[in-house]
Amino acid sequence: MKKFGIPVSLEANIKVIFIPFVTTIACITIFSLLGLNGYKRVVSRLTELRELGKTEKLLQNKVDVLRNIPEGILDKADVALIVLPESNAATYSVAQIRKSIVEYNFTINKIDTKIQGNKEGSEKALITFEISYDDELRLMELLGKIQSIAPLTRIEALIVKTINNVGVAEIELVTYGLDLPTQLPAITEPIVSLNENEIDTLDLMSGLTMPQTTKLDKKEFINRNNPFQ
Amino acid sequence: MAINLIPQETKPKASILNLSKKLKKIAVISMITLIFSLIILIGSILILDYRINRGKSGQDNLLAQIKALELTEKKLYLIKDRVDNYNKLTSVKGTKEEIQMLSEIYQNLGGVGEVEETSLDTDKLNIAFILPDSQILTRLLATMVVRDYKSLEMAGFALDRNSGYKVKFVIAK
Repeated sequence: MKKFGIPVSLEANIKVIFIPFVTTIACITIFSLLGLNGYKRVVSRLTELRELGKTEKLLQNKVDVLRNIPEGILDKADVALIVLPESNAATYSVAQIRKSIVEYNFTINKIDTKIQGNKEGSEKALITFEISYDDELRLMELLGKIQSIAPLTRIEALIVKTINNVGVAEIELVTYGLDLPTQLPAITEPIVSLNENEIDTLDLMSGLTMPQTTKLDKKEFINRNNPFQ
Repeated sequence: MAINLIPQETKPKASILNLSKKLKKIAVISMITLIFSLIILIGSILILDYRINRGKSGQDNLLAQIKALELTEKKLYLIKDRVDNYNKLTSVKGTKEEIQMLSEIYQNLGGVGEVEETSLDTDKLNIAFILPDSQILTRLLATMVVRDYKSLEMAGFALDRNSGYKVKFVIAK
């Protein structure tokens, strides 16, 4: 028996198979479309979460470091700036050395300074002192003192002569000015606190003799009498 | 016995019926798998979104804390920079040892001899003595040779009838 030229038995066969076949194909199609897309989304979210976790850990570490800086360290920021100032290191050094020489009752014959700048933003000042002294051991004491002043001052060379029975010493010194860091690292950059060696160095720096500055007291405004009254 | 009045021509083949049963089973399994997978995927996405949002707000909170501690960070960064530079500058050999050597020589001389001329730099110490007699010369040499100098070179030796022995040394430590 045929219906529209197709055997009726074939139509029945198709009817029986059609719904489960279409359902299976639909399931597979939906699964492959939604499943793949969903899987990609899950993977990207997992990656994002992992990155977030890393950043959060880093930021937490940074907060912990900043909150747990050993006591007294931050107070030495000014000291560090005096030991290695941005500029005018030679001025402070000359003032300090001059003061020491006067304390030792030696005579200053000559002071000479030369500033050498470089591309990296640092400057090096060459200072030469020529002094007359009366006692070698006291001269040695003075040299020791010069090496412990702030800003950092190093003796590069020394020439000692006796001219007309008077000791004359030519001291060549060098002192440094360094540019300040202009920007902080990115907020997500890790930060490390000072290690023991750095703390020791900072203690060494704060042990240097600091330049004495004059503190000017605030003065009250004085009311003058009106001369036209 | 059941009576089937449907014409036998409209009845599907037994093999097709069998295949249909298998396909039905596959379809059911596929649907269950699909529903489970979708539930798992949507659930995962929702959970992950929640955790990401929570992480972001935690991160924002930490960033705000770091911002509030910016002055501390600046100071720490400045100190680190200065300490590093200080270490770099002081790691270069200076004249500290040479000055120490000269100081010791002056102390050992005890005012008996005289240092005519001295010059020192970061490498060496040049020193010229004027010594009134050979006994003092012998004593000076004896004290100098026992020192732990890296090198001790006698650069000059002369006898002047008026002033005494003139001895020049180049010392390195």
